[in-house]
Amino acid sequence: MVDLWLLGQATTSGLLLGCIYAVVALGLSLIWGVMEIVNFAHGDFLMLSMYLSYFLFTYLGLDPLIGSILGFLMGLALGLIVEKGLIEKVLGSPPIVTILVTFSVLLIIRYGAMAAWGPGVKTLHPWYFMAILDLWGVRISMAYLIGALISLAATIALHIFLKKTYTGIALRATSQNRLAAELLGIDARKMYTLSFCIGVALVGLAGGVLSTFYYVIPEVGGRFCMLSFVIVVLGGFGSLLGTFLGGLIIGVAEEISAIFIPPVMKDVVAFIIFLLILMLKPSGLFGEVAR
Amino acid sequence: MSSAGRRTLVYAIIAIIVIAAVGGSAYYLMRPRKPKVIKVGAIFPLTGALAEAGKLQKYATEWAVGEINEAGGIKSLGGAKIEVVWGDTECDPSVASSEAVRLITAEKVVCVVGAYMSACTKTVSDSCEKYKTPCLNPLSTSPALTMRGLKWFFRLTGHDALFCKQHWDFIKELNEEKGLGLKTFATMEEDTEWGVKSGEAYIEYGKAAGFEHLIDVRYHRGAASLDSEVAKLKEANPDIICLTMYTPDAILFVKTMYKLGFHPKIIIAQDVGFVHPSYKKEVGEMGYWIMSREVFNWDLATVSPKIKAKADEYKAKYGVDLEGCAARTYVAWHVLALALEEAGKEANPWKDLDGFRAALRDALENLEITPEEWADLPWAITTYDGVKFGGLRTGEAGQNIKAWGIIVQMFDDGKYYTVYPEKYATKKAVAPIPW
Repeated sequence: MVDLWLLGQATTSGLLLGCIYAVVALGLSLIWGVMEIVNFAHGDFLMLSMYLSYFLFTYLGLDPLIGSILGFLMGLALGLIVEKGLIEKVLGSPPIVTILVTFSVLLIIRYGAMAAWGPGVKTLHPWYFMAILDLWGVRISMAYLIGALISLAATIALHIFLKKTYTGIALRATSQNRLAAELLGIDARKMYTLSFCIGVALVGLAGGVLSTFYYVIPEVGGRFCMLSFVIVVLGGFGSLLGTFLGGLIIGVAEEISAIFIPPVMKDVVAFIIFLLILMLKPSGLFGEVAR
Repeated sequence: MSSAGRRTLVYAIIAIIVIAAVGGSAYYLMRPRKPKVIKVGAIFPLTGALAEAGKLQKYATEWAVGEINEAGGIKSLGGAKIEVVWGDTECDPSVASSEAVRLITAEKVVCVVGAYMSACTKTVSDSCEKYKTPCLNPLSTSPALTMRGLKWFFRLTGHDALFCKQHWDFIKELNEEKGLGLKTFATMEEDTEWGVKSGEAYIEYGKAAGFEHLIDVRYHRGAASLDSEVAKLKEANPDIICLTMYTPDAILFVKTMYKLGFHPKIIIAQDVGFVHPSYKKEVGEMGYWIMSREVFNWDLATVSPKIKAKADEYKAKYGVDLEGCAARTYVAWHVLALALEEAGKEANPWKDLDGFRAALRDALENLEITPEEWADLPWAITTYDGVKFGGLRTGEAGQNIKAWGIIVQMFDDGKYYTVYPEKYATKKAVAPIPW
């Protein structure tokens, strides 16, 4: 018989963590949905943003939440450089080419970070890391809670942008049918650039959030990148709501399964759930069936 | 041509040949010679999640090899200098194995030193066994490594089973001395070779010491969250928690423990993640009162002028405090140098590489350094009682049976102090943890 407190703690941790997983995956979902390319460097942009937060906090005393905003801006700039400098030149090539390009970017960023900053583990502790909210015995780190709220806000902001603004609607149109969008006067190339920039900017925001409670090493992006792929596919390509719910599902599945089975198997459970959902709905939770 | 002319020509040709022969021989004998080197492979995690440990091992290697070469190299081999050939495990056992094969077959090293992660040391030593090349391991501690019947593998450090026995002897003494009433324990470890075997050893020796084992929590190395794992431990409410983790996970664990309010009476760890400079720097007060086994600690310098001198030298050279990873690696290269001296009396690596490797293997197997000799060696800065490779358990071979550790505890100034055994202790252990 599992203690109710344990179940409550695991569920709470899973939901908060799931929100953070979701914001990490949002950018990947957007890029994938509009451009139909897999950005293998996604996790390493996250890593760069985490390092940015770390250095701003350590040397300038800037709160990592401000670091998140600067990470967002850094992501916009990096996204522009990478998209214009590399991705745009290979769009239209066989998929293997874009895969290799983004994989090369991954290697450059990761090993560049290793060379520049070394392999040492770094952490930062903003004041709210040490603040704990105790709700009937369930302990919630304020860093987790703030991170989850920022994730929710980012998802809502992106949703409003895509639904209510002309540019957002143009992005969605491009993702649905590039030719039709172009016939309507939408510059698809600009939409691709914009989606890539926003995608990397979102993961830049996520990096600042993650750095408030997770350690920073050059390899940190790898794990979150893999999770992001799973979440995006689970939620359905290009579906923001699907990505958000996918993040929550994976987060909760991981934490709750760990209390019933050896925690070393919790990833396996999350992936089994992922496969089961895909078997029932191959396009993902909110993905559209291909016609 | 007249006969006189032919005779002159012949004499001239003979003279040219003689001059060329003498001149060529003189040049060959007097030419500047490149000093002979003896190549030794060094396989560490130079990249990957554990690259920080690899960096420390690299420092220690450069330091030790520099000393050996400056002191005249391997004298039995004409003063040949050791040349280190680097290999990178990338924290991946299959890559580690490939690197070992490369170093042995392509680079023709006489020996391999490595590889930090027990999972990587396992595959490296398997490759060395296959190619009949000695493998000297400075610091992987999975007990299983010396239980495989390998003939070419030698481990200098103690292993986790020995350390666990030492931990439980210490905890039992502490429990009795202070009347703590400790009865139960839990274990938490990462899921590679090292973590699994260390966890098993903690459980075996903990039960043997009379404590009740409540729960074992094994997690995947590099997990994004340890919330549920620590929640399970909190729910079980053990008196003692025994941990086996690498640095990133150790930091995450301590933060999670703080977050969830998990407060056992004693926390003891299997070195590695809990003693690295990054850990000490990053956890701050959350790491206070946690104990760990070690084979080297800074306060040994307060009881040993020899250790102080070496620790100061290392800090001046590399800017970081000397710790167990670097200390054991440094010592391993000096031990290897002794074995190379002996092997050099029996075989020549440049004429018969396989023969030399066999001679080196024999030299390691027969090497013995007594406690008194160890105390006198200027480079012997770990807490071993000397060196002798053999076995302490049935079926064990290649294990330095004189390798013991110490137990350290982080006090509220952020520093680890030695608390056990008494001959090295600089402070009394604080228990239970004053949460």
